[in-house]
Amino acid sequence: MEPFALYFATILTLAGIYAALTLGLNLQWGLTGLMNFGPLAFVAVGAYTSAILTVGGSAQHLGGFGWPWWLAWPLAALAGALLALPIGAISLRLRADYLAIATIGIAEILRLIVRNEDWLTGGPLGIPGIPRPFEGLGLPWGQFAYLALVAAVVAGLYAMAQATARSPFGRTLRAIRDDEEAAKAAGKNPAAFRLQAFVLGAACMGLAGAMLAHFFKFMGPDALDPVTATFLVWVMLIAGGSGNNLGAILGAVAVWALWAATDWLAGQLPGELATRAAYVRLFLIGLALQLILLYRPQGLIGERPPRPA
Amino acid sequence: MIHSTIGRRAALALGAATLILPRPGRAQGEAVRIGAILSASGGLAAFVPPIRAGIALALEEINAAGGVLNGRRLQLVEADDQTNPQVGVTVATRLVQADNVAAIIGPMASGITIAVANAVTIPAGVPIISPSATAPAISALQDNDTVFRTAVPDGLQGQVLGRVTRERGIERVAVMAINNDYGRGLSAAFAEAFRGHGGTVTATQNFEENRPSYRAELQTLAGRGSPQALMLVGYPASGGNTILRNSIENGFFNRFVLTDGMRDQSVVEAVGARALQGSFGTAPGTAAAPEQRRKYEEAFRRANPNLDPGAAFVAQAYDAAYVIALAIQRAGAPDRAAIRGALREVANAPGEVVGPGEFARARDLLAQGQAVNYEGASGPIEFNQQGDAQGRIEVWEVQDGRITVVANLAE
Repeated sequence: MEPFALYFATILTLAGIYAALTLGLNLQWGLTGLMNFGPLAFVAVGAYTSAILTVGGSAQHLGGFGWPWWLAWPLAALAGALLALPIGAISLRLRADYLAIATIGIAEILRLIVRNEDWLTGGPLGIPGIPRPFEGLGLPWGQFAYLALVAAVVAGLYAMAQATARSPFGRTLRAIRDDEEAAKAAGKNPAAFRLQAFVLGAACMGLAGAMLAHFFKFMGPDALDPVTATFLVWVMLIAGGSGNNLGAILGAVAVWALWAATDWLAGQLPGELATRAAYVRLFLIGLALQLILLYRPQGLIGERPPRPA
Repeated sequence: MIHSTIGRRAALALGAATLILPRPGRAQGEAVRIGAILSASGGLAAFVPPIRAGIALALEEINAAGGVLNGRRLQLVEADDQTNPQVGVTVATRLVQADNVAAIIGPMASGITIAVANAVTIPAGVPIISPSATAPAISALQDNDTVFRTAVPDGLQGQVLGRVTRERGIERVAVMAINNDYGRGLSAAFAEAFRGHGGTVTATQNFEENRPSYRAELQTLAGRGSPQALMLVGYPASGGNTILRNSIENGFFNRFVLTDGMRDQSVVEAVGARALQGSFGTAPGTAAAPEQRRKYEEAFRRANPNLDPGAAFVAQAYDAAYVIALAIQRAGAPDRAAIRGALREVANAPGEVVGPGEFARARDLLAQGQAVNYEGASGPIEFNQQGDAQGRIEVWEVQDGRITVVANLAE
């Protein structure tokens, strides 16, 4: 029994981390309509910030500050926001699809930076030995405690995202997304609002990156894969229902559960088939996205804007 | 307690899953599960089919000989890490926690091995044996003696290559290495050894894969400190051949010091045998006794006529499966800690030598209380303090258009 409970705790922990990422993307895309194709960049910045601040000293990379995680995580979120600030300030004036291209470019630049700036990130060898909160409790309780921590963070982010969506600020973001000219006519400055939404979403992603790095206890350039850090997040948001915070969380959990289940199923297949199954899984995720877009474009739970009271 | 921690819905899922998933059992006759984490998709996918066949061959032989522990079969549970450390950690968690494997073969890449070991297998105490992770950093893991490898670490190859280069009268080399853990680790080991023997590394450049041209990098390297040769760590298809061609066409370099990544006939075909006159390289050599190697190669060819038993890391994977099976037999139970403790007992001297395909004999010897010493298809498999197998390094040259081994060195 215990091993399975542990395995489910692992799946749920990762789903929770993805939920934080998806909430960030929902703020940017779902609420404001900003097409960010570079969540990878903000995840990377958050992950490396927290990793460098918490690991022990090493000749391979910057480190040795030995901060506790609860100090490092807020800074990881801040690092995500700080990266988003100049990018947003420059590229948010561009039309939506140009922002998408700019964010892809930033994500690739960041991947090259972490691969080459050895003094900072350890280069291709990455940063091993990142401490995981509560691991001192041992198995299984350490793992359950980390799951509880991730769940608490996601709950906190959800509460804040809900408050944002209901606030006048959130209404303005939706207005800008749906009809920019009308929002302008009502005296709102779209550029400023977009920047704020972009930065807040990036902070969520930075925090998710930190949680990811501490869960894996390792961060390296090969771990920053656009398929798992960008593409999957988009699938989760679209499947769950963009514009709906609960949908974002539900999408993250559902898609991650599917991802994990197909991995387990592929493992049951004999030799040659297992190899093919690896590619079939990626194909299936793409197919699922197509089907959702065709038959249920609003996702599992569509957007439900609050009614004016 | 567990239910209240993870919620009702998860508890339901948990309950459902225990009905579907085969439960880890202690009953006699039930299969013993061995995990394998291979990079079946992603950058290393091309290496996988023969490696998988090697592992399958070992398990078939063992099961045909009656299995381990009074007739229990070995069952392979495979996972694909997509050549990505995060995916590796996720699937390793699945193998350890859901599939309850006794030991794991893999992962293949060094970075993934380090990530998986740190996050999953060291805390859980699961022994892992990588057939192909060669980065020197793995030796330094604080692993409670859980991380082993049948691959020969790059530290040894770099050491041999540094000395051989100096012995061949080269005093100054420029170094160009692929920008990943393999390229960085091996070029650093080479540079240290080369300097130790009185050589000078004039400049070092790490290159990114799959560029259309490397002229700029090569020009910089050739122009600094008048190097006599270029030491190149890379793979033929993802930049290595382009670098050789660029060097020769532009006259930047005409002598090359190469490594195992470039030990491929396609290199000779791409740049021509004459251009590689005077060049040489190293690679992990076979340290196996010829009769053990022959037993393995014959069995492999019978089972897989279309695959090459000499392909990279296949014999190492086969040996990893064998020593795990022997360790389970020696431990008397598929218990992770006991297997860990038994690995050196069955792999290292002293003991009666057993080789590929001799599982039944080894089991009988163990039943009589005798010690066994597995001598494998890839080498004698003697795990040292760090869990690294000791191997040999071969020196190769291109002679008459073919790659030819000219020496096989232990250090």
